[in-house]
Amino acid sequence: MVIWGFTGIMEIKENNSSYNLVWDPNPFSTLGYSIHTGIAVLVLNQPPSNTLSKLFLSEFRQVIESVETDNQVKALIITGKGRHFSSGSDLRELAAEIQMNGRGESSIPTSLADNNLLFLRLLHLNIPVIAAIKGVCLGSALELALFCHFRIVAEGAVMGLPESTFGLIPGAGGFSRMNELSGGATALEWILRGDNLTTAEAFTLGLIDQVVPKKELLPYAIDLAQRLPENFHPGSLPFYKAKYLNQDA
Amino acid sequence: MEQSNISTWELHGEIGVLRLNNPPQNYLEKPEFVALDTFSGWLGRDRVKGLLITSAGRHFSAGANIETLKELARDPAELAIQISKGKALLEFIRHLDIPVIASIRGVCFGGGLEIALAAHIRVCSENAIFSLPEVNRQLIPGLGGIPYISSLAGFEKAVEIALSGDTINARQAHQAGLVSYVVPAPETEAFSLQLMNKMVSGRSLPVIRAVMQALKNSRTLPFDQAMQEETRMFCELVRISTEM
Repeated sequence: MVIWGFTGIMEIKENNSSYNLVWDPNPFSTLGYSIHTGIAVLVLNQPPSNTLSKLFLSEFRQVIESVETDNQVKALIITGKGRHFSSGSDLRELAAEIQMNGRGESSIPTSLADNNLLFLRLLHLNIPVIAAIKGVCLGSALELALFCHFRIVAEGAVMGLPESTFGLIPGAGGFSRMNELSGGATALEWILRGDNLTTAEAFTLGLIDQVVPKKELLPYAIDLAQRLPENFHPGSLPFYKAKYLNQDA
Repeated sequence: MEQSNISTWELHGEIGVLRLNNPPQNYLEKPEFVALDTFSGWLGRDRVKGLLITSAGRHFSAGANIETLKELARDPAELAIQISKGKALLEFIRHLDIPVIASIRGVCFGGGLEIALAAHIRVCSENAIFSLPEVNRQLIPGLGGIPYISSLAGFEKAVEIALSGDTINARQAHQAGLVSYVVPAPETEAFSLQLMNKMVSGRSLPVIRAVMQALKNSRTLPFDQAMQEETRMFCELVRISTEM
């Protein structure tokens, strides 16, 4: 099923209840990116787990930079290829980097500092940024989603910040964003527990905006992107959420 | 079980339990409901990973005993000293580097509510009721009740609760964001202990302290700085874990 009139640039097909996104030409190796009628779709493309590798983050930066300067982009949707959004970072890759740069006790490798700035830029984009989450969305992948303006989630998705269960804490603003969205008590509880959240729990805590059936995830995100006003302003999110979402999930 | 002022101290594995133990109303008698020195001694000695504040009997606390307060007010200088001791105690609890859960049953009024607000997470029973009744006695809450309700439930709710002196029930408190969980009364303490265990059991003290620091940063630092601090602590923990 082609969802909306894509030929050539990008085609969205339904296949075993997940979407296959096909793009051509594609300059990136870890993600897919295409724009159609003003709506940009960024697909995390290292299935099955869609790891947020160092290479991904540099390609992600290129996309954000182009979105910032591309006037024809009216909205950005971020989703994953295959069954899952993403299981987060490759910890070994990160650990090696921290070792290399970590001469002082508390120095932050440039790549992580840059990553934080990138996430903040995402939050401050003056076009709507919509995370379309399905399957597994863990660790830094959930942190990435928490820096989007909207989180639309497919039924059955599993979200969590499990870092504390292996001796770490979330490293890319997970606490700060959860604190903003759900309050300090919730951030403290769930980050220390490290348990996965169901869609119902995440919705009740205010972490996600809308739960939709799996097949409707991308169509819903695209529809939302089309309905949101052109002069979008991230400071007015509560207003947009009240007006443009059907939140009775 | 050890005692200081109206409070008692027990250990449940890695969790310390501070119990307001002056039933039936658990009146605080004085603002420093446990001597700070003694209390911090217990915490240091037992190296607990989490603290539960709860009560003996059916109620959390009805707050200050108005008769005792009147007595105390005859000497304004002494009253000021007592109140600043109470404030110091609540600030000490608020800034602990381990999580604090208030487990609340029945009445939670005035100073009792202010103790609950010093905890990081609040669990209450279905029959819990909350209020700041000071206004009915031509007083205001003296231990930070208004600002801390305001930070959890918003300014308007704080003004409403403080100026009306009305009680709100468990469901209303949950809706306002004052409590995280409402559970059947007989299960309140067990639920709270279980919740604390889910949070601290198997977690190292450095991880717990880092998360507590992140909580503190979220209240004191601008957003981007708090975020940067998280990343710094993350790197530190990665470094520790790969060196081991």
